Amino acid sequence: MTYRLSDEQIELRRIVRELAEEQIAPRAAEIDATAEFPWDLKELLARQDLLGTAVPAAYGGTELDGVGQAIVAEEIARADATTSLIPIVQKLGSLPILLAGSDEQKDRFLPRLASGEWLAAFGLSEASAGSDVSALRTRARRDGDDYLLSGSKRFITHGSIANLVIIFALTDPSAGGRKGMSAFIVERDTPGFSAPRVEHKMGIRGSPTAELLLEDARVPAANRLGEEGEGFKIAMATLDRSRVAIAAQAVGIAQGATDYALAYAAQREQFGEPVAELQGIQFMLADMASQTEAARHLTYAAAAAVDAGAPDLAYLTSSAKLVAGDTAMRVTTDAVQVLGGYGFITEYPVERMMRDAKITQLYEGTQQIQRLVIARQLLRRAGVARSKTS
Amino acid sequence: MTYRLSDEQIELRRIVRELAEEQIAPRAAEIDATAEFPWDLKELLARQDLLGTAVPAAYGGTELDGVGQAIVAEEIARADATTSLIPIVQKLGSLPILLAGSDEQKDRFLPRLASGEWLAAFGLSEASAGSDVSALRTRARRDGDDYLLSGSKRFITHGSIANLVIIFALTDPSAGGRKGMSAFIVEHVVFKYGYMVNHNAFSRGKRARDFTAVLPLAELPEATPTRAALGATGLVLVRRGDLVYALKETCSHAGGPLAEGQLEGDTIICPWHSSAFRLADGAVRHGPATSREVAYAARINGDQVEVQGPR
Ligand SMILES: Cc1cc2nc3c(=O)[nH]c(=O)nc-3n(C[C@H](O)[C@H](O)[C@H](O)COP(=O)(O)OP(=O)(O)OC[C@H]3O[C@@H](n4cnc5c(N)ncnc54)[C@H](O)[C@@H]3O)c2cc1C
Ligand SMILES: Cc1cc2nc3c(=O)[nH]c(=O)nc-3n(C[C@H](O)[C@H](O)[C@H](O)COP(=O)(O)OP(=O)(O)OC[C@H]3O[C@@H](n4cnc5c(N)ncnc54)[C@H](O)[C@@H]3O)c2cc1C
Ligand code: FES
Repeated sequence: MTYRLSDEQIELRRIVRELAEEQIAPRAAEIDATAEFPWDLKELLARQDLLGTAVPAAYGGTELDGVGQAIVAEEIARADATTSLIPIVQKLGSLPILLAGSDEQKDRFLPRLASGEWLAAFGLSEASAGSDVSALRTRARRDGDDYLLSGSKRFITHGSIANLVIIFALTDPSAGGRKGMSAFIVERDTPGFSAPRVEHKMGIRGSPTAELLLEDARVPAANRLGEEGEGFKIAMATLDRSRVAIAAQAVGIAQGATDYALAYAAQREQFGEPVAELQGIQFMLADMASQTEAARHLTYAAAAAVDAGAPDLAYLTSSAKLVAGDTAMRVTTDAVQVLGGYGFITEYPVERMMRDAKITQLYEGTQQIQRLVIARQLLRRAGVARSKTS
Repeated sequence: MTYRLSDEQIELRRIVRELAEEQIAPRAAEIDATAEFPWDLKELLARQDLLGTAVPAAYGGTELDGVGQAIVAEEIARADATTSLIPIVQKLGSLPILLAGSDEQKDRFLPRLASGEWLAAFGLSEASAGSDVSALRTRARRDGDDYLLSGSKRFITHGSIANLVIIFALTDPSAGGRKGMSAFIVEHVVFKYGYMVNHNAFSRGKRARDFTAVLPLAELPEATPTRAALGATGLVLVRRGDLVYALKETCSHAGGPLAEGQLEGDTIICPWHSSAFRLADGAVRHGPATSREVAYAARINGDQVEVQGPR
């Protein structure tokens, strides 16, 4: 094992950073102000082969390793958190197919997702099923060769613009959420499927967060992932692997804020010298940089554990998201502080970064839920308690 | 010493909390979304005698003790932080007068601040003088009985809407910021290129069509051929020959006190936002930027100008 990035990974970072600095960063303030999805940047990322990094070459993907995928998310998030969600959610919506799809399903959907021709979304959460996924109510009833899905989903990133959404629904309500849930690939033009509402929000404002409505939406049985009843397992296996990308997003936001604050402090003069010469500021910058670095390496370790299929991968991906999300919030808050009053106004990007950082503590499992996952694994490992789950 | 609130302080908290919950909290989300100053709540706080809590009764204030003033700010902020800045900044702008004002200055300004008829602001920070206050560059040069102030201030809360701003400026640059700085009460009416009529003048009108403000014509400054004033909230009037131009700023990005705009024909061009404000005899429109045009009318009647409130 080597504890350094490979030459290819270093080169990947250089290329994505350059792309992000030149073509994404200049769009970030406008994306935030207008809250419009950056279709142009989606096309750019597709052209640059950055939307199929998790997909095997056999299906047209670029098949990067986990660390490589984290680097892509991180470098884009360093410029703009909204735009980083394009590859991140593309992976989130592709993972259920990669993990549980049949060969036929993989052939049918993965090439279009890998090329970026199609966007994917992940439809798990509902109004009354947030942290408690098993409380979901969306129903799927068998009807000949099809299923009829009914219910509604809440907070589905890209749900209003994706070409396919993975929808989790109860096929056997009597068995409860954990055992009675199945997963379906729902294509956008499915009759009875709509996205009636998009939320107004604090951060990642250009990324549409949609409410989805399923009114007896007719989905072919051929679009069911795995067997009936495997939905909960598929959802958890996906999240255990996907949240490392949120950790990477958080690291990128923190790095972007640290870099901006450092450059600002070096040129902002008060009391006759750059404020970067003041130890009070230096210590803040040092904390920001070192904490970001720590979050980055935990994230890469988690990404490598996912590649290796390590039995404790959830322990590491949850730890990475917990640490990186909290780091992003703290570091961006400090970046605003380093800029003084200027950090508080919209003209400077750290104000946006601080708003964007907050979501990394919330989605794909809140920080409390990450602690729950970590603690369960700890207890299981120590043999001190039987898990309440499974 | 007792470390408990007095009965009066407990009662004060109850009253302000009730007011805040009923009348301020329901407005908070909208104030945030529109980024517009809540003039209605300023009037409410003035009516409730909550803008003069730091001012002695002799000047019309309610003279609360420090804990009482803190309770007022706290309970309003519990409902809406923006609105809590109304009493907070009123005190910030009144304190220099309370601490260093002459009796004449106190008589002249404090009653209007205590009643809330006027708003005050505190103009210390500049682009290059934030934490390092002594680095400020605004100059004040003596000119007979006056001072001529020049420079610019940044980040002045309520600077665009206050009736008076305490401006800190160097009277003796050679002595440096700490020793060479003086403080001035700058009234909005003395701004160079315009005469700003306070919003209050309009809110008093019973019907929208009432003429609600009357000004002596002589006090209206002449618009210079190339410059006019804009950027302030409130009504700006300039005179050019026989015509009076009224200008209502309704955009929310006004950067500070009156700024200079280029006057091109009948249009004022905003230097920051390339917006155009059309000047017309009697009524003025804010340029293409706004959907909420507020039309004012101004007309000359003898040696007076009558200004009609928003329609
Ligand atoms: C912008 C955005 C995008 C999103 N994108 C998607 C998406 O693409 N797909 C999708 O399926 N979902 C998505 N979500 C939903 C997101 O995953 C949920 O919001 C999240 O899981 C939390 O659920 P909740 O909001 O219902 O909070 P709740 O579950 O109601 O939680 C409220 C509070 O209680 C705490 N809490 C709950 N249970 C426990 C417990 N057992 N122990 C301790 N504390 C607990 C939580 O940590 C939180 O602090 C998105 C959300 C947002 C805001
Ligand atoms: C919304 C808003 C409203 C405001 N309202 C008013 C107002 O009504 N009137 C007014 O006069 N001003 C006002 N201000 C200005 C405010 O007081 C200044 O922004 C503040 O004093 C900081 O100055 P600065 O922004 O220039 O930051 P800087 O002074 O440039 O500070 C940059 C960073 O360096 C740090 N720093 C600076 N010097 C030192 C030091 N010696 N040791 C250690 N760290 C140091 C600061 O803490 C900060 O982290 C307002 C500002 C804002 C954002
Ligand atoms: S200040 Fe409003 S347009 Fe410029």
